[in-house]
Amino acid sequence: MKILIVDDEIEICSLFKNIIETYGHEIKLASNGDAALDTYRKFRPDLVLMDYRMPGKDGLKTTEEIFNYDPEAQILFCSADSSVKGKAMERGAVGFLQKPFDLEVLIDTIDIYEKKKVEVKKNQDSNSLIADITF
Amino acid sequence: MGKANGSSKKQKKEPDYEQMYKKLEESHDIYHKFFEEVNDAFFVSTKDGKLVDANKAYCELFGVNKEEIKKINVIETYVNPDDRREFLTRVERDGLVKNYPVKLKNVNGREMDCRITAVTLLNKKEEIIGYQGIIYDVTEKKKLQKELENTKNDFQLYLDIFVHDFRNFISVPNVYTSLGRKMVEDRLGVYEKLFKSGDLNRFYKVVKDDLKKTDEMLVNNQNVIKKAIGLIENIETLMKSQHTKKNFTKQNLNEILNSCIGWIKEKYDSKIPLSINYSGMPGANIMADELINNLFTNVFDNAIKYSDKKRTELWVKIEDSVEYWGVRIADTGSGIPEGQRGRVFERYERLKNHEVSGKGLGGVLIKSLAERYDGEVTIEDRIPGDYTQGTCFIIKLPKYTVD
Repeated sequence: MKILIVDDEIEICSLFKNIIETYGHEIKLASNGDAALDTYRKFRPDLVLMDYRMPGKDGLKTTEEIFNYDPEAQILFCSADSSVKGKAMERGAVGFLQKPFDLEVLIDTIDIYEKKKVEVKKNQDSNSLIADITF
Repeated sequence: MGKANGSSKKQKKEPDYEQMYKKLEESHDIYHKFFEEVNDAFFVSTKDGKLVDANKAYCELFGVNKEEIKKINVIETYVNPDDRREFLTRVERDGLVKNYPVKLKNVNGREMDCRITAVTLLNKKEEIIGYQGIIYDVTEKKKLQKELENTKNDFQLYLDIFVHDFRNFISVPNVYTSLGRKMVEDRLGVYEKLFKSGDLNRFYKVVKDDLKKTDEMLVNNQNVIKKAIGLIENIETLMKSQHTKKNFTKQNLNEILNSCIGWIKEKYDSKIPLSINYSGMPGANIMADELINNLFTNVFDNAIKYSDKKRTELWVKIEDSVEYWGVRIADTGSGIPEGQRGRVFERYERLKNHEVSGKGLGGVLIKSLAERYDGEVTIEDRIPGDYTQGTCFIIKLPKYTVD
């Protein structure tokens, strides 16, 4: 799975990278909103882990801009600020990971989205098979 | 039969003028006693601002004595004379103005936040001949309100730091500790197997890779712990700068700056190539306490943090600026656009604006410390007109005088 991590804290980015890469995922990092949008366009990730408070654009504005570019984007908010959860979900985030999180929670969360991706892919494949037969 | 003459109409009683005069005099005495003794400042003025009468509280408020009040024109007591014009427009329109906010000053020029409640005085033709009113000095009340508001905001700020920043910091050691423990559990079996197989080269490589990974995790842990400690120290200094008593002594700015430069060089020299060009000034003395060092080390720290890590160059210079010593600290950082400079020092910016990253207490601390010494801090471009070439912090501190 391709995962984009958006966080201005270098240690948090490094943490995500170390853990998630161990599970065989491809990672790209962005430390602010503009870099996130730029990397999203080039990398086309399956999942975005989005921080809220960042210099420049905050996570909510960055999310809106990513959705403007790709309405199907899968954005998982990850913030220490629990008060932003509602706003993030309203903007279309698929979930909210509260910092500090446990290792198991992070692994399980990534696992859920990987399974989801496999499921979506399966459905797409079977739909295209039906389409082929109908044709 | 006719009516008896003369006695049917009641005789009209003559008014007791003596009694009335006595009562009027008593009433005047009561009014005058009240006028004189009340704690609020009463005044009566003509239309063009000459004081006709004022009580003891008024004299105390404006620092004048009873004999002087007739020489006073109230226009002179307004910090901004336009405020009186605006006030008169309202009182003449409505006949009464309640709690009108205005800045007044006493004879020594001390400015006061006041509220005026006043009415118009009319003659028999209903023409305005003057004004009568009460002035409330609310300077202290406003100061206390501001302090209360700041205390409330401080509480919100510190809560925000604890809730947001420390949660962020804790995330890193929290996950790495779990990962480390998991590694210990998983890897023991792997080492045992490899060791027993006799493939020592492979065993050595696996152990080396694991140690490298562990070291990386520990370095990350150490970095966030250092950041957390730095934040705690900044909070502590911020609180001290606002709440500790000002026991200032004469201090030499050259010595302070030399000591701060030495400290910052020691902190960064081994990690980044750092060059500090210092141009001091002998005899530059100020009144300060030990917190003054935090003012300069924070400016240096900020300058280095936002500079190009390959080579950081700072220019530190003391300038003579009439009543102040100006300390210019210029860097080669990425610069701050003009529109964003105010935010650097704005204490509650992070509560209002989440486009400000959490850690930004450095600027707040610099401003708070400069104000502690009755100084000020401003930001300019290092090269005027091109903010991308770096920033110059200018800290102005009052010169030490024998007085």
